[in-house]
Amino acid sequence: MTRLSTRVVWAVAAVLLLSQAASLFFYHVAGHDARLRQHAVDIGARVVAMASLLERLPGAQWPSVLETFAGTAMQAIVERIPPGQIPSSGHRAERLIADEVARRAPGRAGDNMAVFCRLAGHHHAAPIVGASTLDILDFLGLHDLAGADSVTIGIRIGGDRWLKVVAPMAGAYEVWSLRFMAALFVTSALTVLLAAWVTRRLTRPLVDIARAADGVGLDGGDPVPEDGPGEVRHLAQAFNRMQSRLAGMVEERLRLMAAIAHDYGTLITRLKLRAERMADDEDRQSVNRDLSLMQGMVDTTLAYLRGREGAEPAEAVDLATLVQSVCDEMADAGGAVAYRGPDRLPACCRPNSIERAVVNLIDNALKYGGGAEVSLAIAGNDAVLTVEDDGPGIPPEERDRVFEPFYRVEKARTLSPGGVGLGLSIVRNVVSAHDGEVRLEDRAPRGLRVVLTLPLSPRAR
Amino acid sequence: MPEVVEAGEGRTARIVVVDDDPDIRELVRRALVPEGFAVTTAGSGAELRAVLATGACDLIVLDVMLPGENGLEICRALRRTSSVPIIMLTVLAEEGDRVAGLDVGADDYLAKPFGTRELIARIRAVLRRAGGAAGPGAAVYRFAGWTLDTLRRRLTSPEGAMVRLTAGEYDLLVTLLEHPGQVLSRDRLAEMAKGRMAHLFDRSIDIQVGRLRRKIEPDPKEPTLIQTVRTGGYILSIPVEREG
Repeated sequence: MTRLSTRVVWAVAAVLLLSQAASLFFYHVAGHDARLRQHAVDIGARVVAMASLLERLPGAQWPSVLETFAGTAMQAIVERIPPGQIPSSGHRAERLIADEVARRAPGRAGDNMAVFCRLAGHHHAAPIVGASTLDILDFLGLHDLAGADSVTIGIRIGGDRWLKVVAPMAGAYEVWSLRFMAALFVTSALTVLLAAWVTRRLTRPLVDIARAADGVGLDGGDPVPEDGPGEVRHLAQAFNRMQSRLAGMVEERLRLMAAIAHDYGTLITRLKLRAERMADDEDRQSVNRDLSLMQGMVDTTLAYLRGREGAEPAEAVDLATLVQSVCDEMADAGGAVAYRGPDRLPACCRPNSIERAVVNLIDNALKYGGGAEVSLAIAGNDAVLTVEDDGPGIPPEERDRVFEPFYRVEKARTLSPGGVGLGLSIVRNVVSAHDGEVRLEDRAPRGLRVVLTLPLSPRAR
Repeated sequence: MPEVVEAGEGRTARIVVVDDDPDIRELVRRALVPEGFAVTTAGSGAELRAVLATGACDLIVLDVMLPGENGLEICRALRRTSSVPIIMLTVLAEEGDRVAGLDVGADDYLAKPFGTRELIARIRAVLRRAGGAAGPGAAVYRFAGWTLDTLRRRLTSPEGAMVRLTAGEYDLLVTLLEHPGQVLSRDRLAEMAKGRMAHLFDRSIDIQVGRLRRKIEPDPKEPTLIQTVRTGGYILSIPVEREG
């Protein structure tokens, strides 16, 4: 799964790359070509003009004419070279300059002129035939391979004398210069970074909403802040409305449960009193058993509702005697409950809440595991209470969900009456009210281990 | 012919049962009459006041959860003019309800759903106390740094921590505290503890003593508070201070 911001950055980078490539292409093809043509026209015109001038002047005046180029990028000299084949590098500029010369002075074209583009790093492997190869290479300056890009134009100005003009190849490949590429890279990188920063900012509220959605249980959650761009704000508002509807439904359900629990309490009291008048001992006992199961459900429900209201104050309580008493009472009622741990362990906690949590855990162990091994120990500043059974356990994927109110492990529905799916929710609420932790573990070879970690004294907040 | 329970002045004890549920009122009445009580019922605070206006009453069994004026308010109002013993019926036997009931002046409480034997035991205990007869009353005991408040059923350790006792341990401890320095046989302990409350001892006295020792003895293996007497029985061998 890719993050939205990552995707946007990739998209921006791709678009940027494409547009840079396109503009480079047009700059190169159109712009460069135009400049090259202009350059060719310029050089062609000058060379033709100078050749005509030199031909009309006596040889003694040539040096002073040729000197007029001094101080410009061009150089001009008159040389004698033996006839031979002038090579070609095949560059477009050669053809453009030759065309320009032919256009201005048709008589100077063909064998009377030669154009050679010399490009740094270019291999000039064109064949040079004839006895005077070395002279021609010299004429073209090809012995000095480290020179800059240049174009050499030779024009015959009578006999074996040639006017040689060496001009720079202006702006031919400056597109690929290091500075240009560096600038391109820096602006691209800045654009991508800006895009990343903007999308991060845009998507942060989404991340908040997702986190809030994860935190919503049936017992509510925090609303998400309603800010950010319009769409995101709408999403946050819609999410908060949904959350409050959900909370409203849960509240409604809890009110209903409270009402039912209260009415059940009255009915159970009646039935218990009636049961005492039953003649048959066996019947009376089984009615009483059912009644205590029902009472257990009502108590659990009321305890859960009470726990949501909070309110029980923390006080100095001996945790070990509390756990022992619960174990002993449940053992006296017929459960296989064993306690292992200290006789005394002073702590600061809410005794009724803790007792309710311990009762629920032992109840579950007895219901699903047939027995409960309860142990209490100190680890650092915490009391660690463990309740183990050898029942079927809870599969890892359900371990978070079993703490949600009304959630019951599938098997539990059919296995036992007398549960409302609130037992572990109460445990979790109690534990978090104490700044503690609860976790479920596998127990070898089988069974479930519930570990409660409770601070011995309230933590400074 | 049922034994007639007498109030302090030698007449049949009159009980008013207040509950909004007519069936519960009737069931409680039917359970109490054979035990020798004269029972009147009321469905609300107004009905209760009407009943009280027509004659004297020795004890009120008052439900906390009443529509309109609830049990706590009725109890508080009654206490301004009367000291008639009151047993509150609470929905949950939780500390909060218990303390609330005791704070407004109730003498005892009983959690719903209750058994009639338990209710009768409580009524008798409260009547005994009210009649000034020898017997367990609301008291605070202090021994070896420990404090037991019988009104709130609360045992506090020398370190100040609330120590939770099972019902059986509590009854046993109260019985021992009522007879400090006396040797009490197992049978007598069982009888007295049973008489105090309707809790049946599911475990033998020895087991209860063992459990109580684990909670209150500095070293349960070498008990110094509750000592075993070789002839059979136990003795609380430390001074006990009693208030109330």
